[in-house]
Amino acid sequence: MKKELLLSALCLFAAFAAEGAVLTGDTSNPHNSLFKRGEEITLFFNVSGLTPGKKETLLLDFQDHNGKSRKTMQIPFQADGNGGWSGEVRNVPRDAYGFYRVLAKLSDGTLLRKTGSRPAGCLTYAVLPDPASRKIYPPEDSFFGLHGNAHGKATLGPWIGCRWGMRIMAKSKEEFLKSRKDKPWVFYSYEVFRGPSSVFHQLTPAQKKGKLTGNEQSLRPLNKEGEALFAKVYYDTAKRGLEQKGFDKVMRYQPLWEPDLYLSNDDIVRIYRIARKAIREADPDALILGPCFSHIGIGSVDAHRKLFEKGFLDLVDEVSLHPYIQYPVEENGLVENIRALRETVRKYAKGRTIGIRANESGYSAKATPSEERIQMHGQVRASLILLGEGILSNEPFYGYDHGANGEGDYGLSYNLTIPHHIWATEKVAPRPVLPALAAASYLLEGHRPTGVIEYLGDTVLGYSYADRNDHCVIALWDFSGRNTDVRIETGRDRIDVADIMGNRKTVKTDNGSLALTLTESPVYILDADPKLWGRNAERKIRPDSADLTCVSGGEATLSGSVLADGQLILKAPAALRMKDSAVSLKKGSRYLIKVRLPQTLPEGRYPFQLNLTDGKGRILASTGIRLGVRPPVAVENGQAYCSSNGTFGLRFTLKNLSGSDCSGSVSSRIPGVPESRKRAEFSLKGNESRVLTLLFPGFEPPPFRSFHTELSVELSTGYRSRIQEEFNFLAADYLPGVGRNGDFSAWKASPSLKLPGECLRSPEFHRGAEDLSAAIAFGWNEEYFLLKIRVQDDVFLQNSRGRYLWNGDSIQLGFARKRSVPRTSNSVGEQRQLAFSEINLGLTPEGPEAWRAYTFDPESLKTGPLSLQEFPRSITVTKGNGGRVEILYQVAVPWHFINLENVRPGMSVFCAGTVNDRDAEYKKQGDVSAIGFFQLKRLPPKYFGEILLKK
Amino acid sequence: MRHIFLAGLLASSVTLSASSLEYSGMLGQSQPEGKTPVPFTAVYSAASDASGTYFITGPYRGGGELWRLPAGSRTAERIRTATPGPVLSDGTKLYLLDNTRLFALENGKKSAQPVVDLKRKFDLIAIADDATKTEFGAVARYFAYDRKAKKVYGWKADGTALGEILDLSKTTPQTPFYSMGFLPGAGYLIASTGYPELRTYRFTPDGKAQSGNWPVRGSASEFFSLDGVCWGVDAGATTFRDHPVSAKREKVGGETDRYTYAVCKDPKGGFFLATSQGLKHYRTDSPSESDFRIGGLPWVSAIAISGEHVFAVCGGAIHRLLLDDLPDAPLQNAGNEAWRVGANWSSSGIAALPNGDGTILILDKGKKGIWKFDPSRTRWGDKNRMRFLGGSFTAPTDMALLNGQTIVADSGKLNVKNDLTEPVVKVDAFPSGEIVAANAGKVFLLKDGKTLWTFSGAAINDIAVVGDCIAVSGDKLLLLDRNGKLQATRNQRLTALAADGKWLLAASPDRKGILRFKLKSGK
Repeated sequence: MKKELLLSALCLFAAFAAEGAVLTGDTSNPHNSLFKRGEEITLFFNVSGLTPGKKETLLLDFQDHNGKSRKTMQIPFQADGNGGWSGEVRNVPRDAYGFYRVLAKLSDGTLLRKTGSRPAGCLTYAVLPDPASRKIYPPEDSFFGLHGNAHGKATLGPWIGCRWGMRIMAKSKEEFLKSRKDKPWVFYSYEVFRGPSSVFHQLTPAQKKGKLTGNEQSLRPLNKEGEALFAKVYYDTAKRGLEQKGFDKVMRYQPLWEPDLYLSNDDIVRIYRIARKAIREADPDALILGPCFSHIGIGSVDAHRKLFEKGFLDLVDEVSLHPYIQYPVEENGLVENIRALRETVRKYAKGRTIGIRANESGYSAKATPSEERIQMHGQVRASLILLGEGILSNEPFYGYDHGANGEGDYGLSYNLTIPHHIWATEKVAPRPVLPALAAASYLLEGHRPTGVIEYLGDTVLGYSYADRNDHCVIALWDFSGRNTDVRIETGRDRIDVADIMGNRKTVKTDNGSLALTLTESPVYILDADPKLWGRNAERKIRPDSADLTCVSGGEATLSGSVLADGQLILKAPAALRMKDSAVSLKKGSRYLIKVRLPQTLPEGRYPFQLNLTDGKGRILASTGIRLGVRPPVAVENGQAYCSSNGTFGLRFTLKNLSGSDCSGSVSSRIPGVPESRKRAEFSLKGNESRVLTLLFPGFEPPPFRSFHTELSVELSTGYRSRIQEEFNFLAADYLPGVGRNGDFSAWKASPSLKLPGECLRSPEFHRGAEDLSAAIAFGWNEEYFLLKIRVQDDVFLQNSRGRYLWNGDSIQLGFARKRSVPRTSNSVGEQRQLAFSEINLGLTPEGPEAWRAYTFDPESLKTGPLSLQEFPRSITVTKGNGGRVEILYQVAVPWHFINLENVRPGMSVFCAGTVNDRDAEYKKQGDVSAIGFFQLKRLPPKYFGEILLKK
Repeated sequence: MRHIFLAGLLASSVTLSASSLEYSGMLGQSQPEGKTPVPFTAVYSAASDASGTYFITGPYRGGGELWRLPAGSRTAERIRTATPGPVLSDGTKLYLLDNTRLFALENGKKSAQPVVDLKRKFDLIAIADDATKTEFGAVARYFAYDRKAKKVYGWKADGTALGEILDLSKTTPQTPFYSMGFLPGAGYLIASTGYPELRTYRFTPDGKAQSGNWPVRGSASEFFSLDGVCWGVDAGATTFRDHPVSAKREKVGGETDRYTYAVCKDPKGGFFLATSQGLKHYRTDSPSESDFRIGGLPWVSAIAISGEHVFAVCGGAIHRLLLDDLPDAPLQNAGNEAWRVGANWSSSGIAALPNGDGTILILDKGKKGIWKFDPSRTRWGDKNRMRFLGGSFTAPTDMALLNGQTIVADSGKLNVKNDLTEPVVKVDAFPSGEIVAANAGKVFLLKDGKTLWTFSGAAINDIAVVGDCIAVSGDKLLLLDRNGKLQATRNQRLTALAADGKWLLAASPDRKGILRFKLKSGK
């Protein structure tokens, strides 16, 4: 017994000792851990809490931005009498530019302590170009900026090479000069009226009362007096700005920040009219920026257009924007949307040239290597695209992490003072994106775009840039996640190629042609021949169009002209299995090359390359064409279908895109379901569309299950295509009049669709079907979407009210018009398309209560209680045999709750729900348990089920 | 207890409202009705000319049947049996190796005289294509590799033996090469090393391994010349080019082609791969997804239906199909195809059941126990794909699941209470609790341990509860209702059965595949 006690005590001690060991570390630049190449770097480590005299080893692994180990070290040491040790480490990797993550732990497994948002087990540093070696360019040639710099000696701006950023106007010239003292870094800026400089904060509550409404972001005038207040603030600020120019020769003002999230277009235009007039009165030379919308999804271009239609561009000198977009930026349309926005600006600018400036863009990444790689690629490639597409400047968001949870977010660096000191931190450490951005700015600042390179591969993108001296840089990458081999003409026998961190190597070319394997990480080709890539490079090949479309089996015509004698060589993509074709041309002559596409060529984008060579085979010019190949017959608008007799199937539209008559067959399949194998012959005239339905008699799908479905088209030419989609098969019966005036009596049928018995919430409180089971039925009519849920419960308990209805016996229902919309972003328009809302229902002593818990339209469909008139329902509880209760919910959801109108058979709606169960008060049962149908709480409404409206 | 005799039942008229089984298609056999079925699953060799594709299928490599698939057709014809092979192509003409002699093959007929007599067996044969007139092509036309001796031997076009022309054991690197072939046109010999190096080297006739792009990553178990390009096969087929213009290689085949033995062109466009799952066709516009398969599924000893999937236990393999598959649909297996599952599982599987959780239970009469097979574990090296659950059986013959309980027919007896006096070897159960048992000549229905009726008069191979009926396989396929009344008869000799509520699957030893029937309930 004593021996056991002793062992236990020893174990306890060991446990405490192990828990007590603490490993911390830092670099010889503790403010931001950024170093010039070649600069001495020392790492300091400190250990405490060890058993005195214990022999330990510090294990270090230096990894680069790809997680590749560059160096490892093992440093043995012995704890001192206090159980501590301190040591220095020199000879760390420092010769190559880049990011270094030092994985540090003791041999007993103790990891380097987590500090701020920097995770446990590592510290980081970066080797960067010397800020002093960065050139200063005028604002029109400066592109790189930063949103949210660290303070004091932790400043990031000079290291990243940022020349653009926002400013908050100082209260006086003296205060401005004081803030700029000892800050020689040249920096261009614009006033943003945020924080203490906002209209909201520059006015007292008494001033605002009765004249203005809204919070800091949504503040807007209520009347003429309110407009005058706005004007006064803008005027005063601009007047102060005349004395605070600093490096800015012209002052810039952006009156609102992301107003698309808070204000209507009318309010935005109204405030900008006030602002422009007031600012120009104070400073006639000032430039006005706006509207600073919050993202660059498809919806946002449309939103800009709507604003511009109201004359907004008359009120600004530069368009400002936050081009947030999902990664990969290329596949989510950053390029297309920027071009669409530029075109929209051009269209509404009335002949003026209005540039676009980006003053926030970025990616949130948790502090894991995989997310940080995405952040690095996303941020750098977005910057290269924005520069390449002619955007005036871009400010990556944000200098450092600022989420209080310390898990990593938008920061280009870890914030090492989280959670004690989040904003204006003076201690940061780099994340991989920081040195990658520093490399981009070092190599490209001062350069402006001279061309886009989209023809080297379907997933290859690149740009050429040149500075005023015609020094040319080409940036290239592949955004597919795969590697792609390309060749590009450089006009040089040898050329420097730099990696994403800016490390150069000289590469021999093949008579000017450089072979590269492109990855997600951009590479930079430095000092390409300006005759090919420069600002004044004569484009000796001038295609009539760089983007062509054609259907499989069709004939594409590539045409244009050449401005030099030579041989024009067409290189087709490998998928076409075509040999190079060449044609001799005289200067100024036109070319016309017809390419017959294979009948079976799959849909996609195919890049063609055109090279013009001289008599010696030397490339004079190189350009490319992108050929978009469409299917001759497209399958569109596929959806599940239910006939009037209840037979399920698929309905879709066949669209002949070819312009000529074609015939073939379309086949359906749900793998593993023999009844779903159906086939229909068709013949379509040129450009004809036809709706087809394939029914699956005998197919009896489980109601709450989704099936992978396939629709295959095979044409007589041999072309075939297949689309795959996921559908569930569940129909709502047509029930005219039900729900009107809260009357459900005409709905006689008992719910027959038994809900899956799987417990979705707090299974510890669920005892199977005896505890809770339910069945559901769906219906519809011209006014309502109808649900009837019969619940069998052993105990009925609902003591909650309002927003807490869910916490007793209740149902939670989610509705949506669609499960997803293309290219997700946070635009209001997309929210309205989804039209997702959640309504909770329960029977309380006051009657059948309903509470809208989530809405897509906070203005007209507010969260909160729903009256019986606006939302008819009936909830009854009856006691059955054995003490069990039956709760019957009957619900009539007005169609406008789901942003639908004029509903008709064949349409569908999306729905999910839970049946919540409480059998005891909170003290005995800490949470409700729940069963349900489809998935209400997982990324709603993505996993909602589709309910077909049958008649 | 009632006794029901088949002869009497057949004599009586079957009412119009009786349940019936509607034939709904064949699974696992590419040959249409009325044509000789392809008798094996694996295809070990394939080559094609303009007229079609020749392939050798057999129970094992080196002993098979030579078949021809005419160009553009999906129906194959057997040319000859007892053919070791392989069938080869020099890019224009076809050849057939018959033990130690290589014959020309024209219109399915081998030449009277061999073009080369190798005199002894070799591991691999290669033929320089017509365009190869340099390097090794200038030395010889026919080549053979002795893997053990690591030596390559050559013969002239007229069949004259040149003897040893390359000793790979003396080349650098001196790595064990397990395959060799030629780069068409250039005429270099290439040879692949095995695990762990997995590289392919290129040699000149003096035995020097060339540098530059070589050795290249990746290896092949055999090489083939198609349209002047060298293709190597391993898991699928990949190109090996003399001067790779790209690090990317063309590839044909998908994850399910773990064991690929040959590649050839489809004269009508696309590729064929000879694989352990059959001769699989790939279109050029979907080179990673096979669109049809030529082959059979013989020796099906047990079938299970799990959701949309069908599992067929065939010798040492478990094949997965989809319930709606067409006769020539490629099999679904992935990972260590064809689930030669390891864990010392040498199959004597005689019964298979879905376990309700996606796994399959397989009764093994050799190990006298039950295995649990998890088809979701498909990656190479996945552990616990096959777990032996044990069992203390003596001579198990069948099993069924009833409300989570496993009922096993063992040594003629059921492991549940019953009043049977005769031995039974087959068992199944209605979800409502009735147990169906059978021996070679009788079917019994048991309720609460008591025999309600006996059906006799037919040779019985297997039984299966399908919907509200009982299917009985043997020389004929019978359908009984719950009362033992014969509902329908089909004149088909069938063995293993499996059913869900609506579908019945039956192994056909004659058709070398699985027949699918749909239950039509009587009214």
